[in-house]
Amino acid sequence: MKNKGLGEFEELILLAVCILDGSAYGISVKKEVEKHSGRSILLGAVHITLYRLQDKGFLKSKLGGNSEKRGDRRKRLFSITETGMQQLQAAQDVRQKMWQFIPQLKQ
Amino acid sequence: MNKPPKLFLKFFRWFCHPQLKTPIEGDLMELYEERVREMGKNKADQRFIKDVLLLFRPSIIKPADGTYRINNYGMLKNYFVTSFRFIKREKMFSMMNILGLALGIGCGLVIYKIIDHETSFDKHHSNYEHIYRLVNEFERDGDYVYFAGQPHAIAEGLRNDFGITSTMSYYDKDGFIAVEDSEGNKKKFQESEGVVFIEPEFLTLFDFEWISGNATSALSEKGKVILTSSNAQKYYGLKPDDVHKAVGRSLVLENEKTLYVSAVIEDLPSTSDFPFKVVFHYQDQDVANRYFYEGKSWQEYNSATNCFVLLKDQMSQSEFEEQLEGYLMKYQPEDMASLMELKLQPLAEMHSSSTVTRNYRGATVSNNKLIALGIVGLFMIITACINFINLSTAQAVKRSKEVGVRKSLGSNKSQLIMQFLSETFLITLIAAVFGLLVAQLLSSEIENIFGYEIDLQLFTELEMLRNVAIIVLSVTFISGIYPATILARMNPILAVKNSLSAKQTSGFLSLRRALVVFQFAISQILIIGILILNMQMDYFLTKDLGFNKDSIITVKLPESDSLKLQVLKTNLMSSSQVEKVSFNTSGPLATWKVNNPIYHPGIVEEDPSGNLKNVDENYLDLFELELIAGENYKEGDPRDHVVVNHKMTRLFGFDDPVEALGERFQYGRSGREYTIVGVVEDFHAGSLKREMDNVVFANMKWNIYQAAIKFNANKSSFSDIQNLIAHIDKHWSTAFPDHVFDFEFYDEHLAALYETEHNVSEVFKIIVAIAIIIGCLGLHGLVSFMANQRTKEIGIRKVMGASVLNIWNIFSKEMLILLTIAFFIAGPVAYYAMNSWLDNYAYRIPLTPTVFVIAILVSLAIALLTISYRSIKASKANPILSLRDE
Repeated sequence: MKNKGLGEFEELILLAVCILDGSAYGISVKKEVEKHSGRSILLGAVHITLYRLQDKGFLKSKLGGNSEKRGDRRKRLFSITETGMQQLQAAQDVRQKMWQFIPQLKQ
Repeated sequence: MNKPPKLFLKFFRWFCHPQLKTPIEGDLMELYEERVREMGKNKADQRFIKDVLLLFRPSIIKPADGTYRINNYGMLKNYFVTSFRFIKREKMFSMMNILGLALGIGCGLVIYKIIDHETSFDKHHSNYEHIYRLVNEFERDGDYVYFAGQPHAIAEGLRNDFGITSTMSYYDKDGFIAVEDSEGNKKKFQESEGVVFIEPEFLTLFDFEWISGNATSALSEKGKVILTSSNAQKYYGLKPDDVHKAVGRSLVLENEKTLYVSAVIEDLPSTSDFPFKVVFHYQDQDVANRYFYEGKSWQEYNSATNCFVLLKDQMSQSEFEEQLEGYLMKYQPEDMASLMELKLQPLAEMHSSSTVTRNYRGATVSNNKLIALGIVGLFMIITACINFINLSTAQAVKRSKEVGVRKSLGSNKSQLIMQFLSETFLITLIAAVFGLLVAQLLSSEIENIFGYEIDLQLFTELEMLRNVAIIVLSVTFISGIYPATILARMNPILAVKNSLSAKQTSGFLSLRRALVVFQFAISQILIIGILILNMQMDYFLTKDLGFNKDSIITVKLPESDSLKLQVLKTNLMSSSQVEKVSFNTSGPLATWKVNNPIYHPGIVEEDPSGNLKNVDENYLDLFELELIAGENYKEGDPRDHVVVNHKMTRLFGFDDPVEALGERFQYGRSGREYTIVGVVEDFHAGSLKREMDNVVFANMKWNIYQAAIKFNANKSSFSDIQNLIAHIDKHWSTAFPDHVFDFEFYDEHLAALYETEHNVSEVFKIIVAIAIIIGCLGLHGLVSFMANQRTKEIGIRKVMGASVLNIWNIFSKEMLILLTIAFFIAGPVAYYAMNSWLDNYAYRIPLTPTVFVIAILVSLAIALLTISYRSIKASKANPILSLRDE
């Protein structure tokens, strides 16, 4: 499996998109990541990462509806692509494999 | 709904990549809403700002839009093509626009040049900021009066007592110079300006461009003389390239002293208040100045004797002034020294001072005058801009279809504004080229008036080019932005249908009205100004001065030997054209005066002084001065018998002049006594700008400088005058073979006193003419606009039977109203400005309503003429043509 490189933050974002399953957009992703990781992240960082992942082909997006709160501005809803899922899986596999070789855990 | 900080939202929208804009902005808003609920508006605002600023990062900022703008090249090109076509199609309109702007720009440039010239005086001296002129400060009735003349010894005194660099200069102005060539032929030159005597220190204080010789040796001793390049050429017939050959050659000053040329300098720049041409050593002035006393005097004051000091960096003006306090006490009797304080005047103020109004060039030009001139220049450009606005909005209706089409094809407001601005730019650019032409023409006209060169030098002087660029850009913006927005604002559907109603455009019509009122007001102010200026000039020249100035020629007398003069007089009288001859100090009205204090027990006024004129017994008769008491002195009377003017007897307390006869009074510091034998009616002994003087006529033989000759020839007959002059020349030259004959008509000499006023009024005339032309163009624009808008109305009126006069009436009525409004602005402004100008003069005309009536009538006439041209054209149009497309 070729690794196009998935940064830690990118991984978190991808995971969050997966969790949100169809209702992932800037703020919801930001909140999801904040909820699980416990750290505060910047909206700008979220957006940049989302678009970067889309460029890499891990995410796809479509324009969704707009809510009252957003005025006239439509959301861009993100969902994961097949390659995105594979990538995530691959990353997970690599970790799993490596976990197995940690001696301290074997006792 | 809460609003986040607007500025930052705008900033975000500006920098954000268009593709990302909507979703991110939406997120921002959502988050903002939430935060407002959670932590209040203030905190939410802060967080919003923080978010926006942190979003300002490369991947979100839109790419530099080079790729978008490439397209604009074609668009800009299209703008210019359209503009050119428009200019070509609307020839009349473009011509008026370009003409108006060109006149305005040309005027502005010339005025800038004048101001630039007047403010650059003596800046070429490297010590410019550290040189000061010594002035005397007198307190008179709570006011301070300044006088720049200094006693001869003061510079030397300052050098010894304070160890500073200081120098005296005595600007004699005129001098008689004779040069002998190798064959022994004498060439004679009567210099009327530029003859000066300076101490050697002067050459190190001020900068000169040395062609030959240097500052240290040029005047190291008496008997040396420095010539300017052009005078060296004049005296010795040298070519410009070998003026250095003048060094070592000799010249004779006043037929007395032979001096040798030690150095040659470049001609002094026209922006120098030291108009030197022939420069002698200070100690050589004894031949020219009989009150020199070897330069040792501490009490002899003369306005031409100035002292300059150089203050080194460590000493400020006020510090040195403090040191100078009471300095004169050391060298002068107490009663004299206590009259005044020594003060310093920076060299930078010498040309613009309004308190010390004398310098070697003649007069100062106050900063207020320059500011006034600058305002006039600015007004000229503004009227030209207003003009442009009026004309181009008048054309707006014609462009409406084009705008409609452009809008339908998707051009937006800012693009349209760009288009019309670039059109304005093009027109302004063309106008600027013509403006330079106008400036060139104007400057040669003004050079004739002011007598100095206004060098436009557009391409060699970067500064000028920069100014033109600034003017073009600002004029483009000022005059282009309004019409451009009006055009860009048009509703495309209405515009294409060509049915823009008057209603839709009346909003800007009222602004146009305001502009026209403003323009009218400016031209009315200028008209009133020029009228009053001319009336005052006329008053100066025609006011009864209390004596006769016509048919009198004055001739200078280089010597006052009685016997010689007697012979000269007899010879002169031999012509039937010569009626009377009188030898005297000066005419009744003169700029050069002997002024001294008067003492008499009856005087209550503080420190009065009077003019002393030595005149022979024919003088009163020749100048037709009216004797109101006693009689004239006769040849052979005691020397202390004098005739005074009525003002002087009143000074002594005698209202009735007869009572003053036989009174004795003292005149001058020496306390010489005189007896009044006659009293003449008051007359103006000085310029009408000032109050009358006390005058004493005495019959002493010294200070006889001129001959006044009353003639009965017809002055307008050239041959008569020629004969007369030839007659006088012949006998004068026989009497004084070593001198150069020169003469003056006395009335012309007096007119020259008001040269400044005359010059200002001449320049003003040009400016007013241009302002009026520009105003007319603007007016024409407004009427055209109205005519264009009301084409249909006029058509209907005509069908219903309106006459040409009726329609003309519709247009003129409105103009009349605008003109009246303008007058109510212009009247008070002009009244205030002109009244304060007239207050400068002791004898001035009263400001009567007539001037204002004339001004409004003139502007009315001009306005009606302009209107008529266009409105008659409109009313003559065939109604069928204007109505058929409905």
